[in-house]
Amino acid sequence: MSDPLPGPESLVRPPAPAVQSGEIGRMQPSDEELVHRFQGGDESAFEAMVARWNEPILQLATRLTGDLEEAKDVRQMALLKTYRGLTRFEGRARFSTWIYRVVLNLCRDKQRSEAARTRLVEGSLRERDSDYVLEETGFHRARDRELAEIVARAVLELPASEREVLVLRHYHDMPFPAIAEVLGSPVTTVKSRMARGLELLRTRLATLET
Amino acid sequence: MNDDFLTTDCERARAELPGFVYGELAADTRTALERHLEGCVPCREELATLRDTRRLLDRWETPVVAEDARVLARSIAAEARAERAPAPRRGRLLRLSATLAGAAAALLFTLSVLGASARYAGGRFQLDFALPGSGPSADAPQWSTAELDQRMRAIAAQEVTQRTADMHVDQQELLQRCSLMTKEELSQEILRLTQVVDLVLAENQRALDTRLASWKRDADVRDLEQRQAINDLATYIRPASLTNR
Repeated sequence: MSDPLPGPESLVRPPAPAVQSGEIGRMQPSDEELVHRFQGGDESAFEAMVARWNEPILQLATRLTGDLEEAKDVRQMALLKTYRGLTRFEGRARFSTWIYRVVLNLCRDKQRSEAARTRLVEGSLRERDSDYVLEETGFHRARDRELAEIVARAVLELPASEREVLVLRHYHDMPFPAIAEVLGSPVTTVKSRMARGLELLRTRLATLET
Repeated sequence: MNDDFLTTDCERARAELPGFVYGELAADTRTALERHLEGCVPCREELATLRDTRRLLDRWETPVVAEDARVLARSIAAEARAERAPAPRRGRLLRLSATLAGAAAALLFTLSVLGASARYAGGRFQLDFALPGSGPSADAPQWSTAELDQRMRAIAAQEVTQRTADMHVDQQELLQRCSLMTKEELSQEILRLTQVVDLVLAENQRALDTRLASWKRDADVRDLEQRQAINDLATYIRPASLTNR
């Protein structure tokens, strides 16, 4: 296969930083710069990291656990782990790779048993309607909601290995080589999991309109 | 690498379709695949289905949780520092255990009034803080000094009322959790949470004071400008009235 490995900078697209008043036009420091500042005793660097990573962490955990409250627990633990671990962070891997790996591991711990996952899927879709933010305009509202729930359920019911790859690729816009780095798997494995995940989804969603 | 096989081999061409749909193929692989697709109806149909699946995935949006990242970061830092703090002395533990149930209820109520949402997970309580006036609206409102004082009081009162109502149901569950813990576990949790609350409150009070001071300065400037404008107007009007006399 002739797919080139992208350069280090293009592996992970960092989340869009929140623009605050007075910061427009100013260069945002990289994650590694923020880590360095934190290690030098600058607590505000941690606040900047939370501002940057809070939303991606919560989104990833929500899509892997299927439950907003579980996702908030994961977010809390991931940020605590980050705060405790930053002083020892040596930069052998990029910070983005490291934090995604932490979140994935925490989500896996949360869902060790298949039974627990099935229970979460059912609970999250039937009882926690407000956890899914949907377009609520016009008479399409009910249909949109139903469609979103079916898609969410289909993704959540994928096997974990396929679900992780699909969520990182589709919802976090992460290229296959970057996913391979996070998972510690070969790129070919990541690609075949993606293909299998899409194939399973295609079958389950075959009757729906786009 | 030679990608000519894609021209004739449907199975290998289909293996590349996910990369094609997500724009991850190298130029030569993409060109070879496009050549294959031109002449292969089943693979084109497969591609169309994959694109439909990709569009359907966009339907699942996750909730946007409005949170102040700075407050969240400070509560995380405070929790980490509290974990590193030395264990409480035995004398204080014993004193606390006498009124544990009341202390737990009072602490949870205080947390709710302060806008801290408490959850029980992983064998301990976790706190999310959103103190009155510490929300994401960082822009100073265009109020005068008198309005500023009046409105800050009204906002604080409204937020406290709302949060007290919101927390009522959660409190029942949390209190139930408390009743399942041993006295020692509960007293340690209360001490830990109290330390977290003290640290976060102190840090947020400083942030709130700074913001309030800044708003007051802006309001004073606006008051001064208004008085200046009135003086200017008076100066302008006076000669005219003198002339009329």
